[in-house]
This record gives sequence, structure tokens and C-alpha cells, in this order.
Amino acid sequence: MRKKIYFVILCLSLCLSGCAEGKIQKDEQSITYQKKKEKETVELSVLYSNTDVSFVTAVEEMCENFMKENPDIHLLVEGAGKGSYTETLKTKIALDEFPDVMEIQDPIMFAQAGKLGEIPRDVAQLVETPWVWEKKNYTIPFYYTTYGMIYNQLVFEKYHLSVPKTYEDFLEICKILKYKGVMPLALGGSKENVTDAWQNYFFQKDVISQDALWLERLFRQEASFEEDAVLQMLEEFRELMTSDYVLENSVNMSENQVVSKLVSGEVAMYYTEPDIISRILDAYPQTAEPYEQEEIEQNNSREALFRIGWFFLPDEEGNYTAVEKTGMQWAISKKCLMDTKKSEAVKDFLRFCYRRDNYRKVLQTMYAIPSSSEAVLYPSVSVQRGLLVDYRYADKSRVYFGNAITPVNLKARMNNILYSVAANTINVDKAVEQLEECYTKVTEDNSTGKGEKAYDNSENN
Amino acid sequence: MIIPKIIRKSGRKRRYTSIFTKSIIVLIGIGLLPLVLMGISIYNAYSASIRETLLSNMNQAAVYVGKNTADLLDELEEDMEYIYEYQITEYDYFYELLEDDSISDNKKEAVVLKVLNDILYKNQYISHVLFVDRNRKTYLVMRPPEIMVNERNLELWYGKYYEKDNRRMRIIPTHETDYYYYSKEKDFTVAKNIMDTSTVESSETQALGTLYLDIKMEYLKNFMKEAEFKDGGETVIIDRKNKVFIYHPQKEKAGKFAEEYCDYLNEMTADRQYIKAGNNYMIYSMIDGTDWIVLVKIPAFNLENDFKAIRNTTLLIIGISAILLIIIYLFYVKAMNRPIQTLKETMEEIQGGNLEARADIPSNDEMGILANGLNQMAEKLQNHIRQVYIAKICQRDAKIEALNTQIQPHYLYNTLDVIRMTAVTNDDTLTAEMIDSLSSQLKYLMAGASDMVSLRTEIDSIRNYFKLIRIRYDNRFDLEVDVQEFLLECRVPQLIIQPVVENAVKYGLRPKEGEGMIAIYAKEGEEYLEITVMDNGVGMSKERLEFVQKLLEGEEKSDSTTQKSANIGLRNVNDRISLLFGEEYGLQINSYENIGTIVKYYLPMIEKYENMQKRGDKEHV
Repeated sequence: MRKKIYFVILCLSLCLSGCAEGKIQKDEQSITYQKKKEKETVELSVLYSNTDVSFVTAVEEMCENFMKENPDIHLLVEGAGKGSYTETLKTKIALDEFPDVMEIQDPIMFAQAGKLGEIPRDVAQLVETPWVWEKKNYTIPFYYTTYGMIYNQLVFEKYHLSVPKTYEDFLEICKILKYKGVMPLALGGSKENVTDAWQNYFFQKDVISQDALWLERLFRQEASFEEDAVLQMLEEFRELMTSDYVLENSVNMSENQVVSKLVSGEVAMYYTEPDIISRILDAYPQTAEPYEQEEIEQNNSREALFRIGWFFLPDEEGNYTAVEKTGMQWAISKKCLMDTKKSEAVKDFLRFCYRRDNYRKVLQTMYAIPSSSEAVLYPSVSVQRGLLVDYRYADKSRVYFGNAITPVNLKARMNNILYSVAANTINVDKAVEQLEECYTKVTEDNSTGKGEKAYDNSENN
Repeated sequence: MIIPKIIRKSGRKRRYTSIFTKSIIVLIGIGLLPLVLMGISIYNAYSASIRETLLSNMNQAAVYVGKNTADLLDELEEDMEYIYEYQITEYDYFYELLEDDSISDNKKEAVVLKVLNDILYKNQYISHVLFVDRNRKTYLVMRPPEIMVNERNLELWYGKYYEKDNRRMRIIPTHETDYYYYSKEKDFTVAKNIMDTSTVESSETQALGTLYLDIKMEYLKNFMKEAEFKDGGETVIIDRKNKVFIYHPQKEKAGKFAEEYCDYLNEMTADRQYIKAGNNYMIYSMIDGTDWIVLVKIPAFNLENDFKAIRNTTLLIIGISAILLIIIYLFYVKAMNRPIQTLKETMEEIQGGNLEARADIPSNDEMGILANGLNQMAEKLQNHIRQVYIAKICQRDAKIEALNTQIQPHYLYNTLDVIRMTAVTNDDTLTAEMIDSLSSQLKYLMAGASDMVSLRTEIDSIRNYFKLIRIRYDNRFDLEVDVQEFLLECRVPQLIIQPVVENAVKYGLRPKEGEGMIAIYAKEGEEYLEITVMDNGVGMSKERLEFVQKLLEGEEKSDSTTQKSANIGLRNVNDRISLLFGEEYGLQINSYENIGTIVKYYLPMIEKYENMQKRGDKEHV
């Protein structure tokens, strides 16, 4: 009996002291918190130019959705600041922060410097025509855009005009409109791109139609701005831009100003890229569908002034070439592709971007032309649908000022000069002179390997 | 009288431990020990928990300091990167400025200094900005008041820290700014190579120069306001790789080797928050993105001081509780123990033979019951012993006495028979009758050892005796018996009435002149069998009666030899009755002078079917 009592006492005291000890240990551990996140996540840095507001929202949404679907991949998304995007990219190199996957402009110089990795085969297959340079595929286009004419269908109907079949037709139309008191054309946009659309039209019509390889020759320094075709291009360009078919001083107007003039019926046509449609719809939502307009007219008893239409401007022979302009292209850094985990992650990311349900949203937001190899249809306004149809059956050209083989920085300087031409401050001869000058300078800079400076004329006045 | 001690069974060798001792052990084992243990463990747990909370708070403060420092470093990095975005009037980019050979050195310097100045004022913590270009030309800006630069020292310093191929931000630990004359400042520096972003390749490989930002070590104190502790606590920041103080509240120690901490730096891992080293607690937090660590050193004594009061109170409470518990328990146990002791002592006394001993425990609990039980038991034992034993002994004595007077019966009976026959031969029938009666009486007296006989038998014996007496005394005396038939079957002790009858004859009738009578009545009383023996003899004087009564009650000792036999008889009868049946049974005697004497027997009613003992066969000769 006695032994039992001792045993019980011993057990009790051990239990109690054990409880006390255990409690201390547990507390010690429970206060410790985790500083590091799970190390299993792969981090990808993504860079894009955030100049276009709608594109920004589209990209951010896409990245968020991607991260939700793939919790083990973390995206560090950054939009480039103001200034030249290429310059920002170079600064990133200087800071040793070159992104893993990025939008790229001027891909050749980065490829030459060995910063870009070859796009993996299965990713390249996502698009119809990946960009190839020196037999290697360095970028894939995310979407295309083109140049064409936005026109006011109501005005055309009013004056019984139809879509022009030739360039002469077009000029005729302009004449009629002018006679009727409607300004046929307006220019508009930022200084960098105000002459973009028109310069490329004439470029196509006058230079490329005769010599498809002119731009390549230019790149190889085997061409000149003094050639006849170029002179003709510049002449015609100047003629139209300075004619009274173009709204006076519209070369200095912003895009929004032009849009408001369009929807008010003051201006009939505007030659630009399709993404203007979203801005027009913002300004004048009723312009979307014909049948809607009738309804609105009935309800508001106000006369509709504008209805969007689109046509591709043909040349003298009645043919038209739709420019296949790269809207935005993706590239992957070489370093990223060397890391197996990151490589897989980046492939997943790009596949996600081109996946129908995500891709559709981007296309819709940008009113863009799909570049994917899979056919993608997206609901949109009738004008866009018409545009896409026309585009599909048109001849396409990938030669335009500002494409990949345009010598770096040339385009920016060119735009400056052409702006002056459109503003009627210099004549064609002067323009040619200047163009030659800057071309020489640019090639010189490029060949010496330094001074591949991005010409940023956004601040220059 | 000796009552043999009850011999203990096996276990005689067991050690005796009183209940008191056991109670104390229980108190200690189940009361005190757990109380004390629990008290101590709760105290330990509580104090540990307080300590943990305090340490955790300090850790949070350290984390806060660390975070602020990390934020500052991030800010500084951004400030340095600003140089890439900087829009100078004539140039788009910094590299253009530096590469421009068309402007004079002075102009260039002025513009560069402007850029650096803008960086300097971007952040209040930056002390000086230094840019060293490819050609080792230095551009330096500082806040007012301007101080003289020691060019030589400056060259030595930045030359020491130049890293050609590192594009990331570097942190140079706190050092004396001896590249300024008369400067006692201690600064840490962040440095970054600025690349030439004219081409893609040059962005990676060509550095325009290195940018250095100096920050006064003391500015870090601003982050520590939240982390200030009472005296004894010291907050420092240490560079773990180089083992020097980045920040120390004592300015002289900043930048110097962290001697007192370097032993422990290896043990400071990210999964814990503090280590205990010697008498100090070192609470720490790593600063993200750097090799730095924020350390708070606080002597263990300070921490424990906080809750000394609580500890003392707790211990006091435990102590007082324990003492109170002991006191109360002792009192209670003693009170509990007293009856047990009493019981034990009484038990021992009874064992020792003193059957008078009684346990006096008035309590109304189990002890009272035990005591009562013991008392009753002792009482019963006493009675039983008295009854059985002493009665037996008395009886044995009486028998022995009877036997003493017994002569060889056979010779006696034969002789008497001879005498009787002689009387018969001589035609003396009277004598023959007397002898016959005597013979019968003697047989009765000496027949077996039966204690109880039937009343009939006893009365028959008396009749026989009386025959003799009548003859002897010329028929002067008469015997009358009035007993109901069914009472005759009652059992009475042998020779219980005869002595009284003899006395009645000897002392009552014989002295009387004339006739006399002895009457014997028996009746069934409420609780008794009442037998009355009356005589109308001379009676007794009052004194004599008193004397006899007292004798019967046992108060007087008879000393007179003349009264001896009579007294023995009465006494014997009374004693026998008392012993056999109890005190409540016995004789009562009363007498009136010259009228008579009455002796009343109070006997229990014992019917024939009870107590069937061997009956002495009267016929047996």
C-alpha cells in the first residue's frame, strides 16, 4: 500500500512539472513567425510599355488571372515609365534587372547583343508568323494592327457616296465633300505618329509596290532617300497633307480632338489604326450599330451625326495592301530560358496569353487583329467585323516604316522631318536632304556600335 | 482473575505506524507536494510566458528597425537609379553628357554636379554624393557647411571599394570619413556602377563610373525611437559578413570590429528570435537584402526584474498557503486522532484484564459508534464472564463443598438400610420412615451434578426433609405447599429452597413454643417465578433483619461464627441465583418479630422445554 502511494505521488509530481515545462517550449515555438514566403514559387519579371491605357488594363488583368491559375508562379509586372521603351530596357540592363519576358521594340539590337533567347518551338507555334532574324526566331507578335480609313457612313449616305475603288475615286470623294462643306480629312495624334499612317500608305503605293526590298536595302545601307520612287512618295505625301482637303492645323491636333470632330460630322474621314474605334465609341457610343442608331434617333429625336465605317484605301489600280503592323511583340531573355523552372513558367505564361479566353479580351480591348495560329473570333462592333473580314482577304505587307528592320532611331527622326513636311514648313527637297542626313548619321552610329541612342522626340519641341 | 491475552496472529513483527504519521504523509504527499509543485510549475510557466512576451515585443521592435533600414536602403537604390532617368536640358541621357567632348571640362563638371545635387536633395539622409568616372575624375557634392576634401584619402578609399563588373548596389560598412579634413563623421556608403546605356552591349559591360552615397550612421538612430528600452538595453546594427558595427549608440564604436558580439553571430539564425548568451538576452532581426542584423542586447537581470514583484507575491502566497494548510491540517488530524488514541488505550486496558475500562468518546461519528460498540462489547463480556465463569466457579465451589461432605454413598446407603431394617425388625416404623426420608434426601443431595431441577423435585426433597423434622419435633410443625400444577415443571436451581426452609425451622419455628407452619407458595409473576417461603416463627429483630439484608446485598461481611452456617446458606442461595440469572434475580427477606419471616424468591421462568439438561435420576441409587 505504501509503495502504491509513493508511486502515485511521484507520477503526479512528474506530470505537473512536465506540463509546466511543455508549456514553455510550446510558447517559444509559437511566437516564431515565418519571414520567407514559400520557396517553391517561381518568379518571372514581366516588362511592357504602359503608354496605352487600355493595353495596361488588359495586361494587368491577364497577369492577375494567370497568377490565380498558377499559384506557384509569381509575376513581377512592371510597366515602363515615360520616354523611349527601348531606352528603359537598356537601363534595365544597366541595373542588371533585365526582365524575363517582355514586350520588345527594336528587337534586332537586343538580339545582336545576345540578350534575347530563341523562342521555344511549341510557343512559336502559337502564332502564325513568328519573327525570324538571321534564321532565328526571337519574338512572337501578340497582335497586329493596320492602317485604314475611318469614315462617316452617314455623311457618305447623305451625299450618295460609296467606298472608293481607286485613289482617284478617293480624291473625287474628297472634292465632293469639300464642295458640300464637309472637311474630308484630318490629321491628328502625337508628334511621333501623326504622319505614320499616311507616310506608310504612300510608301506602300509608290515605293514598295515597285521594289519590295527597298527597306531591306536601306537596312543594309544600299538604298537612298534620293531615289525617284521615294521622291514621288514624298511629293504625293506633301501634296495631300498640305491640300485643303485636310483640316487646317490638324497636324497639331491630338487624337481626341480629331475624334470629336469626326463624331460631330465636321470631318468625314481619318486615316489611322483600328484602335481608334474604342475612342470613338467612348465619345459617341451610339455610333456602334446601324439599327441601334435608328432606335436612338426615334427616342431622342435628335439627328444622328456619325456612324463608323472603315475601308482600306486602294491605289490607282484599285488594289490595296493591308499593312501587317506588329502591335506588340513578346520576347524572352536568354537568361530566363537557361533556367529550367523559369523556362517552363514562361512557356506557361505565353500559352496562357494566347489562350482563346484570355486572348479574346486583349483583342477586344485593343481592337486588334489576331496573330495567333488558332482562329479567334471575338464579339465586337460591326465595323470591326467588317474590317477583319476585309483584312483577311487583303494582300498583306510587312514592310512599313518602323518595322524591325527599319534602322534604329531612323523612324523617330523621319517622323520629325515628315511632320515638318505635313506642317508645310519644309519642302520636299529639304526633306530629302534632311532625311539623307539623318540616315547617314544613324547608320554611322549603328555601325560604330555606340550611340544606338533611342531618339526620343517626345520632349523636343 | 486472569483473562489470557488474545494472542496476535502472524504479523507480530509488523512495524507500528500510527494513523497520525500516515495522515502526515498523506498531507505531504497529496496535499502539500502537489500544491508546491503546481505552484512552482505555474510560476515557471507564467514567468516564462512573460519573458517570452517581453522578448517577442523586443523582437518586433528589432524587426521594425530592420524594416525601416531596409526601406531606407531601397530608397537609396532608387535615388541612384534616378540618374538614368534624369533629364538634363541639352542632353537626353547622362552618358551623353559625359561623352560630350565638345564642351569644356568646367561646364561638364558644373552640369554633372547639378545632377548629383539633385540626387543629394532627394533624400534627407544622404550626406554626400560622389561620382567617380572612368578616368578617375571625381565629382563631389555635400550639404552645407562645406568641408575640405582630402583628395589623397578619397582616392584611396574609393579605390579600395571599386568593383568593376558589379552592376548591383553595394553597401560599404560604416567607416570614418577621413577623406574630409576635420571630419569626425561616421558614415556608411551605398555604391552603384552607372552603366553606359548608349548601346545594348555597353549597358551590360561599359561603366561610366561609380556613384557613392554617404549616409551618416547617426541617422539610423531615427529608426530606433520605437525600439528604445529601459536602461541596460543596447540596440546596434552589425554587418555580419565583416563583423563590424554599422550602427552603435556610442559613436566611437561605429565601424569598429564587433568584438563582444562576433562569437554569437553564427548562432543567430533566421528561425529564432533571440539567443541567451551568458547573462544577456540578444534579440535580433535580419535586414532583408543585406548582411546586416539588428541586435538588441539586454541583461537577463533587467528582464527578470520586471516580474520580480510578481514572483515574490506568488511565492509568498504559496508559502502562506502551505503553512496555513499545515497548521489547519495538524489541528484537524490531532482532533481526529484523539478518539482513536482513546479507543486504543481502552482496548489495551481491556486486553490487560481491566474489564471496567470504557472508552469515553462523545462524538457523533464513526469513532463514537466504535467506542459504543467497544463499550457494549466490554460490558457484555464482563457480564458473560461473571455469569458463566463465576457462576460456574461458585457452583463448583458449592459442589466441592458438597462433595467435601460427601461420604462414600454406597456405604452410607447400605448402613442406613441396615439401620432401617433394624428399625423395621424392631417394629419401629417411625424410625424406619425417618431413615427412609433421610436416605432419599441424601440421594437427592448427592445425585449427579445437575444444576437445574424441576420445582417438583425440589419440593419433594423438602417434603422428605420435613418428614424428619416433623418426627423430630413431635409433629409440632407443618408444611404447606401451594403450587400450581404447571409451575411444578419450572426449572429451578438445585437446593435453592432447602436452605431457607432449614433456616426457617432452625431460627423461626424451633425457638417458638407451640405449633408452627411453613408455607411454600409459587406463582407466576410478570417477569419472575415468585416463590414464597413463609413461616410463622419468632421472626427476627430489626437489627438482625437489617444485618441479614445487608449481607444479602453483599455489603456486610459476616464475622460471627454462630451465624456462619445460616449466613452461608442464605448468601449462597442469593449469590447462586444472581450469578446464574443476573442481578435482577435473587432473594428478598422480610421478618417481623414474633410474627414470622417471609423469604421471597425471584427466579426467571424457565419452562421444561428450554434448557433440557440431564436430569438427575432421583431413583438412582
